[in-house]
Order: sequence, then structure tokens, then C-alpha cells
Amino acid sequence: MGTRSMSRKGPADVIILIVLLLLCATTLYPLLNLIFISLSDMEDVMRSGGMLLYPRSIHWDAYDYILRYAGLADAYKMTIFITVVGTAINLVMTTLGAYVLSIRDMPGRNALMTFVLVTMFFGGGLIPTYLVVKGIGLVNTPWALMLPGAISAWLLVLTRNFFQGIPKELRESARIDGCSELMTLIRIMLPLSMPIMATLALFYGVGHWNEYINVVIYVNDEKLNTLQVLLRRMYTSAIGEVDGDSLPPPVETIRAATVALTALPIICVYPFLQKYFVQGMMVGAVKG
Amino acid sequence: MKMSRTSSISLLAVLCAVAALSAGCSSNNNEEGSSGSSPAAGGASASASASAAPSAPVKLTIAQMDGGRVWKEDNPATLELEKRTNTSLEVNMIPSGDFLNKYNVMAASGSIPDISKIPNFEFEKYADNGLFLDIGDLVDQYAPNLKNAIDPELWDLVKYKGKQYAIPYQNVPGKIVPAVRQDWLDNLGLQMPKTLDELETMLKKFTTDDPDKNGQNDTYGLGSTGNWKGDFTMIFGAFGVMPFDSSGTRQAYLQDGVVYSSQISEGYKNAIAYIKKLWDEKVIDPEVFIIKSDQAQQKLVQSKAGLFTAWWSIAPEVLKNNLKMNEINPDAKWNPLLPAVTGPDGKSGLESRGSINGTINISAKAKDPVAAIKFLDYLATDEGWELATYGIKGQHYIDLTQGRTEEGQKAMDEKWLDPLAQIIYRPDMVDKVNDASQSPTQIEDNRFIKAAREYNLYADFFYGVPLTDAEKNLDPDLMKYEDEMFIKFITGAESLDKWDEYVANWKKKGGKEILEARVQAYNEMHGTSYKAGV
Repeated sequence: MGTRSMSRKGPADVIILIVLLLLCATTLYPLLNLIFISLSDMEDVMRSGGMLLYPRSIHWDAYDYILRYAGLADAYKMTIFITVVGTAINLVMTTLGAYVLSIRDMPGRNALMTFVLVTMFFGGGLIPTYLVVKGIGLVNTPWALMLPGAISAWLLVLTRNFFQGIPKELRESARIDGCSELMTLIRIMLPLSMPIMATLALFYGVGHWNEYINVVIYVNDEKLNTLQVLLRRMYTSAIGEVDGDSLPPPVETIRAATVALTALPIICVYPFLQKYFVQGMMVGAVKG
Repeated sequence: MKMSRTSSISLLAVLCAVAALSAGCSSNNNEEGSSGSSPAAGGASASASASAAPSAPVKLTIAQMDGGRVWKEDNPATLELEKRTNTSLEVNMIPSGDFLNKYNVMAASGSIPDISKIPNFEFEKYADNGLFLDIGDLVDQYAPNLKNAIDPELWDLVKYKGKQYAIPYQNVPGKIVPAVRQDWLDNLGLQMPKTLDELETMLKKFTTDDPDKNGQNDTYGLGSTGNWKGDFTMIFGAFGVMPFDSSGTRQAYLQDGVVYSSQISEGYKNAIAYIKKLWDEKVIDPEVFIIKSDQAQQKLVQSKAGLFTAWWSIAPEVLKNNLKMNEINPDAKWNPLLPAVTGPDGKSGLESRGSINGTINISAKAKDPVAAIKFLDYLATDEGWELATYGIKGQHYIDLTQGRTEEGQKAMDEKWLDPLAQIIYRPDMVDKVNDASQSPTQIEDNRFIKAAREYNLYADFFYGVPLTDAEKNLDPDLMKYEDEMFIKFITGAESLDKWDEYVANWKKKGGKEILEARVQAYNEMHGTSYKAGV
């Protein structure tokens, strides 16, 4: 990409450029608007009816209100922990599973593949799953948020397809040079699979970052609450504030600030992974 | 390439482990609605094990909706509470929106806590499965303060199948206030409307006579709050019926031993005719049926309407404080429309928001139910209530009339001071605090809180009766039909001449069946023999 020289720019190019810029603006503006609202004074927000082209003045009240909330630091730590450790577990488990299933001459491969695929369409249901998780003693531990969903069947299939796209001769030659299966995976397959790894990391990472319902269901201990649970609680309390002694908080700006605090860190990850991301999805899809 | 057999088999083994994991667990990703809880608890062993040794604190587990509060282990107020009640608390704060999902899995796995606060009348379902203890005798014996703090009527209201499984969590049923722009009335030289005719006149002038004096024709009489089901409650009240309330509950009323549904009553028809007239005169905000609450509130702030009906807190709290109405328009002044306008037969009133909004229940498996009851009893005392609500006297608040200290306010801002304030509600204490407050916000609030309690309230005859099967099956479709027809009648898409056809369809679509089932359920619950009037 970028190698083709743009020596002549015809009117068509200009039009395309304008259209693309407009398109870009329509996707970017809602996010910017949100950030502007979170930084604005409530009065400005109400006057403008919730549409701001730029913040007329900078106010940190909304962030101040949120950051005062007890336990926010713990929640951030918890969320980062399950995002990092959980994603690592996901990557290891998915890679192992996908690699094995990508080997065409493995006995029982189709039956096992079917077994995995079935879970894409049928689930055990909330209560049976809860009973299993409880039965193996994971309830009220962070592991309940990482181990039960360690493998997403869909991403496993995606990864398997990617592995299948790598010429099997590479694996054979590794065998000849004396690699074990594990070494083949680590030394040969993984270095070739960075696009799909980035894709997996992104999907799993965002999933963990946004973890909400599982936290509600499996965790009882306040200290194990994640960011999403705490921010939601904070927001509901902000809109329901009827404590006579203090002025109610600026609800609209708080809502915007909540979203900003939740979404921005994970949005920051995207640009770094995006080039792999698209590539990984495409490669898996075409050659599967 | 031929692989060696052994390595293929070792691969297979790894794969099995992986597959088992993904099979067992991938369903976690689905957010499933709760399926019904299976009965989990065995017989209620209400062994009143008198806590012999007061030295060792009794461990009590509690589950409740979080109410925006955080449970903090080192909260001095709850530590003090534990000390005074000789308990060791383990509290599970569950996000409100997902409370029942979580509670269902807890119930299904047989691990509900000793004390649960359950919203509305949901406890009935769990009580049917034997999860809760009949605490009638325990309360009489060990909880005099609790018994006295709550109205006898409410204790009766939550009796279920003759047993006292629940302690009612009181709610003030009068929470709705029609609010009028007093400055608009003054600008136009009008009085507060007292009758439906005067209301119509006022709404017309609000619409056409430029009440905000900005020279533009940009106002409506009747504004919306983003939930049209609550927007007409005063008009329904004036016609003597409440066909539905703002949460969508269809109401019924008793007359001469027969229970009638308000949805097909003559009063409802007349109310529709009146609202339709207002609609045709274009004095109702035309977006009333589609607007969302945020936008609706913004419209009110921007002075687009002069009357709306909603929770007491909307005008003084949301519009004035949260949304800075007076910074935008310094003259804006909302006043409660009190008394409510009266209809042709002299009737008036608003919807009731119910006299309880939850129950406290003790698990049938609680190790020490007596300790649980005693703990709740302490929360119902003046001292216990103050501790749970305001923290430690001297440290977090000066006294009830002088409010919080700086430290207490900081703790409130951080949301951890009063995690147990929503277990026992003491309206008398709350009033005492509110009345004594010097804060301008609270004084403004009080005008609306007080007004909300003055109105005549229409409560559903079936309040507290558990859901019948007929409702579960037929209600969604019926309600859709009701809503559609209401909107069609108002907007003129359907002529009101077709009222009889509507009534016939209503009965056919399950209205009759539901009403009969509900009357039967009511009779079973209360030992009465009313008839269904369809």
C-alpha cells in the first residue's frame, strides 16, 4: 500500500477525497461530541440541545465526580488484570486448540470439530453454567471471568483456518529438523501467525474490558468488581441522586464522561492492532 | 506427510481438554434471560437457635440492589453497626438492572443469603419454592420496633397464602405531581386551572398566546416526560378511572362486589374524547408518543411546554438543578398544580405508585433467623436507622436537623457511607430530616414532595396479586393492542365511534380471560368471592 504514486489528481479524486472525509467526520463526530459534552458545563449542553462543535469552556466537574467514587482504583486494577491475564489465557488456549484442529491427518478431527462448532449455536443456559462454575469453585474469584470463556468457538475456527493457510511443508520440514509438535507451533507457526494473534488479542481483550454480566453473576465481593460494573452503578446513582444536602451532579456531562473513561483506553489500542486486525480476518477467511 | 501415530494421539489428548473447556463454557457469552428458578431449598428448618453466646458475632449475609452505593469493608459506620448488633456482615450489592438474573442463579444453586431485599412482589415466586421463612412469629417475639415502624396494612399487604414471608419495604405512593409554569400563568393573567374546561383554556393559551414572551409561536400546552403512559394521569383521574399507570400496569376497580377493568370503562372513553379534543386543538406536544425522556426533559428546560406530569423530583431536581433551567431562563418557575383538576362528576386524582416497593425476606436456610430478625429490628429503631443512614453521630453528622459534617459529606460523595440505608425505610424520620433542612434545594423539593401526597390516588385493585398464567400468555399482545388503540383514538387514526368494537376485541384478545384469572387469584389470596365484570 502507498506504493502507487499519485502523480495526477483528477476531479474524481477530489470528490472521492471529500466524500471520504465527510464519512470520516460522521464516524468521528459522535465520539468528539461525547468528549466535548463531558468537558462542558451543563448549562452549555442544555442550551445546545446536546450538540457541541467545540466545548465553550473546559470543566472537569464530571470527571471529578466520577473519580471521587470509592473503589474506582480497585476496579481499574481488576479490569486491567482480567484483560491482560484473561487475554493471555485466551490466546494460549485458542492457539493450542486451533493448531491441533488444523492438522488434517489427526484422527477424529471432524468429530471434534463438530463438537466445538455445536457450542457456537447451543449454550447450556445461564443457570446450568452457573452451577458448573460454582461446582468447580470459581464463583467469587476473578477466574470465573477468565476460565469459563477461555475459548470462543468462533475465534477458534478463525484461527484454525489461518493455520490451515500456512503451507504444511513448513511443518514437515520442522519435523525433519527434529522439532516436537510444541516447538513447531512456537517456532514455526506462531511467528507466521502474528496477524491472527493480533486479531484474537483484540477481540478477546475488548471482550474482557467490557465484561459486565459475568461479573454481576459470578462475583459477590465488592473488591472484585470491574470498571464497567462500578461505572454503571455510579451512573445510576448520579441520575437517582436525591440527597438533599448536596447539589445533584450534572447528569449529562457525567454520562459522557463515563463513556469516555470506559471507551477511550480500549479505543487507544485499536490503531496499534488495526493493521494486523484486518489482515488477520482476511487471511483466515480467504484461505479457509 | 505421514505423522507418527503417537504424536497424533497426544495432539488428540490436548484437543480433548480444549474442546471440553470450550464446550462447557462458551455459553457464558450469551446474556440469557433468567429461566425460572428451580426449587432448591428443602424444608424450612426454623430452629430458633437462641444465640446463646453473645460474645461471638453472628455472621449474616445480605443481598440487595446496590442503589449506587459501594460496600466498603472499613466503613466506620457499618463497623459500628456490626459492633452494636453483634454481627459480622457480608453484603452483596447487586446492580439494580440485573438483580433478578443474579438472584435467580443464586436461588437455583441454593445459595441465597440470610437476608434478601427483593423488588416489588417478586418474593412470591421464591416463596412458592420454599426459599423463605415464615417470620410472623419471630417478628412478634423479637422485633417490636420493626413491627411498630411499619403500617399494619402493609404487613397484611405482603402476606402471601396466609403466611408472613416478607417484611414490607415502605414506599410513599404519592410521588406524581403535575407541574405548571407559574411565570407563564402570570404573564397571561391566568389562575391555576380547577376544572377540565379551565385546563383546556390554559393549555390553549399556553400554545397560542406566546406565554414566554419571546415573540415566537414555539410553545405547547401539555409537555411530555418521555413516557406517554404517565403524561395523562391527571386527565384520567378527573374522569374517575386509571386505565394504565406510567409503568404500564392495567388497572381495575371494585364496584358493588364486581371487579371491572378500567381499560373498557365509560370514564376511559370520555377521557379519550377529551384528550382527542386537546390533540385536535394542537395543544399537546405532537412528539408525546415517540420522544425519549432525555429529549423531553431538554424540551421542558427550553420552555417548550407549560404543563407536564411526572415524579415529584423532575421539576425541582432534574430540570432546575441537574439541567440548570434557571441559568437558561431565570424567570422559569414550576409550581405544583394542586388540587388536581376535577372532572364532570367532581372526581380528581393521579396514579398511585404503590405503597411498597420491595420486601425483606429471610432465607429458609438461615443459620440464625433470630439474629437476622434482631438485626433488622435494630435498623428500625431511631438509633439504628440514623446510624445506617447518616453514619456515626458527631463524626458524620451533627444531628438530624443540622445535617452532615464535612467528613460525612465526603463519604456520601464517595458513595460508601450508607450502604444499608435501603433495608428499612422510616418515612417519619425522613420527613423530620427534610422539614428541618435549611438547604434551598431541599426546601424547593419539599414543595413538590408535600404536594405529591395531597392528591387522591388511584391504586390498582389487584395490587400485590401475583402474576397469573393468563397474563403471562396473553398480556403482551393485549397491552400492545391497548396502546395502539389509545394512540389511534387520540390521533384520529381510528374514530371513537368504534369504541364498542374496541371493547369487543379487547375481551376477545384476552382481556376477559386475564380479568377472570386475576379475580380468582385475588379471591384465593384474600378469601373473598368477588366477580369479574366483563
